[in-house]
Amino acid sequence: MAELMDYKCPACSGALEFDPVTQKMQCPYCGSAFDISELQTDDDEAASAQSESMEGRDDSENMSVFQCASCGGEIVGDDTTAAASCPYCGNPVTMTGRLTGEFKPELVLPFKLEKKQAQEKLKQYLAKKKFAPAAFVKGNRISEIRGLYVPVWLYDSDIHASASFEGTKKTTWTQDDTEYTEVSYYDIFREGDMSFEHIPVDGSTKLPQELLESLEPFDFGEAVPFRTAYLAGYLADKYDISMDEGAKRANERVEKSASDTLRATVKSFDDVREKNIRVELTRGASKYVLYPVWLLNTVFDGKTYTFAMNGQSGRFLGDVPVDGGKLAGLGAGVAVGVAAVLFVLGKLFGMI
Amino acid sequence: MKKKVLSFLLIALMLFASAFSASAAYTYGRGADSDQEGNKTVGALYIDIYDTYGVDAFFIRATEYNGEGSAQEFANVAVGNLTNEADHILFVATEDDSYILTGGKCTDMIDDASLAKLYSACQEYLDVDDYGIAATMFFAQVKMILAQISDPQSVVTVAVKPVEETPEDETEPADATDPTEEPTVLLYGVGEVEEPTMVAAPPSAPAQKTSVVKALVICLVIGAVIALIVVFAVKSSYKPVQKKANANEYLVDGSLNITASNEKFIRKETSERKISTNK
Repeated sequence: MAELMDYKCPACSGALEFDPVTQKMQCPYCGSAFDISELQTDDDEAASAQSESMEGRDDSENMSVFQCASCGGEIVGDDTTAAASCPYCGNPVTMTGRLTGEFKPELVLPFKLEKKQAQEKLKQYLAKKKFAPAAFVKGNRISEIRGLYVPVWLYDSDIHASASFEGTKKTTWTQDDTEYTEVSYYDIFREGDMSFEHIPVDGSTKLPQELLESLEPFDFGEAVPFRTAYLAGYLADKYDISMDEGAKRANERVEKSASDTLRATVKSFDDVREKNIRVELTRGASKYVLYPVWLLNTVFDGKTYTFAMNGQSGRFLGDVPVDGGKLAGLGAGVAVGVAAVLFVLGKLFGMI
Repeated sequence: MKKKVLSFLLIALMLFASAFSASAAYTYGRGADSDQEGNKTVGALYIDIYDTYGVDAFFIRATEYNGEGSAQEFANVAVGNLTNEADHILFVATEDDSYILTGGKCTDMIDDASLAKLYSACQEYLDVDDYGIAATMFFAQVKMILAQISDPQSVVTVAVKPVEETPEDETEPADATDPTEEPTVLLYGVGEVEEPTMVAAPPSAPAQKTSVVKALVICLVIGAVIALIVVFAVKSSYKPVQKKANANEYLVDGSLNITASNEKFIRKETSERKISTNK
């Protein structure tokens, strides 16, 4: 059973939030700031001591309903929601039971960038998109902005890989009026060991895998032991993709990297083609961590566009619609411009 | 992305250059149509032949190249630079020999008897190194042969006045024996036209083979292809959310340990291709 927990300000009893700038718990009401270590020493202990509201359940929708301890409003979340805010009073709450036991993350990368930085990044990002519809850029209204801790599996692996390649060397020479080309074929074999660390795989079905991968890299060196206090003021999900399922994606990337790495040791050939590769995992380990991502949704033409920002590095991206008219104009301009330049060059050099 | 676009631009420029392979570096002195006595000049004869029969006729005096080079070799070099496989007839004369090379419909039209006639018309002037008169005789004979082939009943006479030959030492280009250069050939001059023109390829015909319209169409097609590439590149840049193919950035530095490495020769394949100098 999940329980709601919020962090009360010792000075004014307001709800504390984690501040990415100071990396402290901040009270938005009285301005007090506290080190996370000052607030609690043990999450489980705190959870049991401060649980204020019980979970109700709507089985038909797989949704859970919580009652906000601050205003009594209903907070609705699904089975994977681990942190949220009350839609009525904005009180940040954490469903402590959702992040215990096997669901308790080992580490967390705390947010370093704020909501307003994400909004600013969106403006800068769209300002560069000259071929987006004007209404999309100028009239862009963020319908939703969320700081989300994404459940991520990190995989470490030591592998033994062997790969076969076909390499060719080409020699060309001319004798009399004949050009000769000699192609020599080689069977190339490479075998070796290598190690990978902290390959991230999205553990939530809610966030597309490609979105998290596009936001890489995250600096794992800044990860800290998990404390629920880091979630205050943000959304968080627990994983719903198991470690074994996530490992398949990590293995795909490792296999490609093993191939690239072995291929890079093959030199002095004109062309190299991979014939086969075999990868054996000699040691594997995984960690369950939370990565910080800002998600911004905008609606245009009845369609929702999601932008994302790496909450640690500020890397920002998202798919943007393209204005067909502007693109056609670009195409026409390039075609005419290139044609004109070629024509003038042709005239100048007497080719025409 | 920028590199790709630049590469395509470069390729497009090369395509463009090859689409108009008639070189601009060569000039042809057309000269007056006739001299004061009404005699046809060589330039006028050349134009007559081209305009009437669509045949490029060239008389080329070739100097020695690096101490070697027969008239036939020079002819092959010269014809290799001809554009569009034009119908052509070349007369190449060196100090030692001469050679006539035909191409296109000229190969069928001009038979051995006609060739012999051409040789004999020029030979006596070549023997005394009078290339100017030899050139004039060649053009006159070519015109008569072509006229008779197209209309066997016709009787064609061509009044010509040979070129005053320029002293050889003045016509020799300074770098004629430079072994790094292409074989040097001299297109034999035209009536009033100044002096023999140094060419490395036959001159472009006065009638433009590549019309401006055709050139414009080719330019626009190349422009359209480049525009499509640019448009697709821009469009794809608006969809940056993609899966990563590999985990290269998570490879631990220095962890690679190659335990086996070998390269075994399997087989060898040799292919050959004839290099044609005739286009």
